[in-house]
Amino acid sequence: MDRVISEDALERGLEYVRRNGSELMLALAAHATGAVSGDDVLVHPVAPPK
Amino acid sequence: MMCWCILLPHQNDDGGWERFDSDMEGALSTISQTWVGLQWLLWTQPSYPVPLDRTVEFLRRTQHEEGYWDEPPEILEFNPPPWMVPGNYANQLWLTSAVCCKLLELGREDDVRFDAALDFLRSGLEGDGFPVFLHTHWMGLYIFRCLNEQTDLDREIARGCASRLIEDLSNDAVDPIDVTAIAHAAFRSGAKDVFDVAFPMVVGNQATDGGWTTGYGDNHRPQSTIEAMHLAAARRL
Repeated sequence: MDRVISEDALERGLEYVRRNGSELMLALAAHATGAVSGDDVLVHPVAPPK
Repeated sequence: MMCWCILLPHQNDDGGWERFDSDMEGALSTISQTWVGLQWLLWTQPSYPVPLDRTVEFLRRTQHEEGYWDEPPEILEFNPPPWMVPGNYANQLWLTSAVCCKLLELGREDDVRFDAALDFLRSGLEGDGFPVFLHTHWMGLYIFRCLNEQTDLDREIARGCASRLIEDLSNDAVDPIDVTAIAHAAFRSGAKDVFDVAFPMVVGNQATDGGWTTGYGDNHRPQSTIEAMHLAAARRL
């Protein structure tokens, strides 16, 4: 049995979310790959604050 | 600080979080979604502390005298699914376990009446486990393994949760998105026996299209995928 989720698996996961997920989901997925930081997720010119 | 953001539109003025999915309509702050908000903040660890502080304050205000959390009565106006209906003991147990689990992971348990919440959870033990929901067992596994001062009952609860999780995993009776959550809780709490069963299943639950599967519906597959990706991220740290 595999003991890791490979980098390739993560990239394919990110691509899946890019194709099928919302911007919120994509931001959270990108964070898991290290592509963005937590502050990138919080501060992003997408939607106005409530 | 500028807050044009992705996460924060889901946090309400009262500090609680509203549903982001199709499980329930309405902008009401719910405990079930506030738990998810804690999960998002746990994953992303933003340096800006206000969203987490406001979330914790919401939870402090909404904790019931007896120590538990429950969905607000106003939720009934929005035709919630059964697992979000207030006044149901099993629902109160899973919601309380979820809140306690994430507050403990975030190191914010002292901001609420955590001991009262633990006593409520302990009182919910029936035999070797909790009623109705498997969710309560992986939350309970993490909580009762990670307490600084464990009682004999706490160790018994943790063992019971682990046994229930391993049994259900071995019987292939767990949805993939929940398998990932179990693996995450087992990894973070050092429950190697549970992790060793759950994690290979997580690896195998990635479909050929790159996304992780779930029986909760295709609209939940991005969430299932993100959960698995963050488990991988946690293991890299």
